[in-house]
Amino acid sequence: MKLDFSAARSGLAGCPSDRALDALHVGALPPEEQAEVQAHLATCAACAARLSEIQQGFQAFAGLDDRVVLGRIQAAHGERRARRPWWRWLWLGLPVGVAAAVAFVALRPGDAPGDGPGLTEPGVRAKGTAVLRVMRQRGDAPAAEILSGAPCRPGDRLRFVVDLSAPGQVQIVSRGADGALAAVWPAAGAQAMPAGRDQLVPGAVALDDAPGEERLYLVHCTDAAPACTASGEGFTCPAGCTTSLFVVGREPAP
Amino acid sequence: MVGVCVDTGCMGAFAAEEVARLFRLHGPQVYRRALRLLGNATDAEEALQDVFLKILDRVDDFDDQDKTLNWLYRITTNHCLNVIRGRKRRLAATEAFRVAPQRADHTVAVDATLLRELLSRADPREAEAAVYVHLDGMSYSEAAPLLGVSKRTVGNLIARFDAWAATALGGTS
Repeated sequence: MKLDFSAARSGLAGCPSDRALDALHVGALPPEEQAEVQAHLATCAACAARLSEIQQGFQAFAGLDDRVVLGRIQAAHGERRARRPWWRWLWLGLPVGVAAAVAFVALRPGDAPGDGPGLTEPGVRAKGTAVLRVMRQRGDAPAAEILSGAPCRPGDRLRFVVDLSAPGQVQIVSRGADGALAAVWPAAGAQAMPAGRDQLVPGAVALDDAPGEERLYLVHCTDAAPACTASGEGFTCPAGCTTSLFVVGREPAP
Repeated sequence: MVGVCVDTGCMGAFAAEEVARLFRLHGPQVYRRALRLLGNATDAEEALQDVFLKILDRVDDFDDQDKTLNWLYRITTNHCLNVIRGRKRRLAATEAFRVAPQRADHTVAVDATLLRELLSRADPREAEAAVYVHLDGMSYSEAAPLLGVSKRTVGNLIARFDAWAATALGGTS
């Protein structure tokens, strides 16, 4: 018996491999191979279509929300890195870069909580309906998005961006080393927000020189007010609420 | 540049920004590859997430596009093969291969679904080679650096896989 694997391939016999097209797309193909592949593409409509799909990036996949996946990656990475959180935050008024503090939240130092039984923090593999993203501005440099766990230094200014798959009540809280929750935004209560991506939260926070990492949670509730309470090492939120974790790391002292 | 990171503890903003950039650049490739290997969007999305979490541990190695591409191919392939093998363990051990009709010239057409079934039971090393050559359409020269072997060894791995697969498809029903 002979086996014919051509039906399993995306290209025909003599067509460039998937890797060759991927390498062409990211500019990793040696010049001589690049010329060869491009000559083939000029005569093969099927391969031209394959390359076109590659060039579309995530847009080629209907139903996949790449931003949500990246958010989950950030959350999972943050969960790995979360250790000894305590920070103090200065809440700054707009615009970013203005150094006038309008509020102050102090979190108590202490031992890091473990992830013991009863903890109701977000499961990092859960299909979340809300994602917390963070933009960091350092000095006069433009603000840039950072991943969960990225170390920050005193004076860095952070802004929050929220992706929501459904409208609801939203708040951002910080969990202290003893499990106590402190409001980060809004200063009290919660804020109603519509569904949508790239929703910029008003205001910014500036970091002082307190050591340690900090866990921030976006709490998003569609059916109830986000009245989360500390409970031992974790915290609990009403049914209908989801959370998204972001860890603000701490740059090692020079 | 990530390359300025000289300390394992400095997985910092540069690295984080680099991961986001790599996600935008290579994420579609990883997802597409996982989709072809796994055959459904849910598993492919999980694979995309898992592969990029591994990247977070290795991000300072990605200063070479060619090496990056090869590494992503390898890690995605092996991750998906593990998922496929895991699925197989959940099925009855005696489950037969789907019967593939033979053509008049005694050739059996192996599509992606049947190839997936074969990969779930094949020798892991041969399965990885089969993915590169039979699914991706790589030449032995292309597959050799990904497998870390010579072109000749790739040929041997493929020959063994094909012989095993022919026996498996012909001997079960």
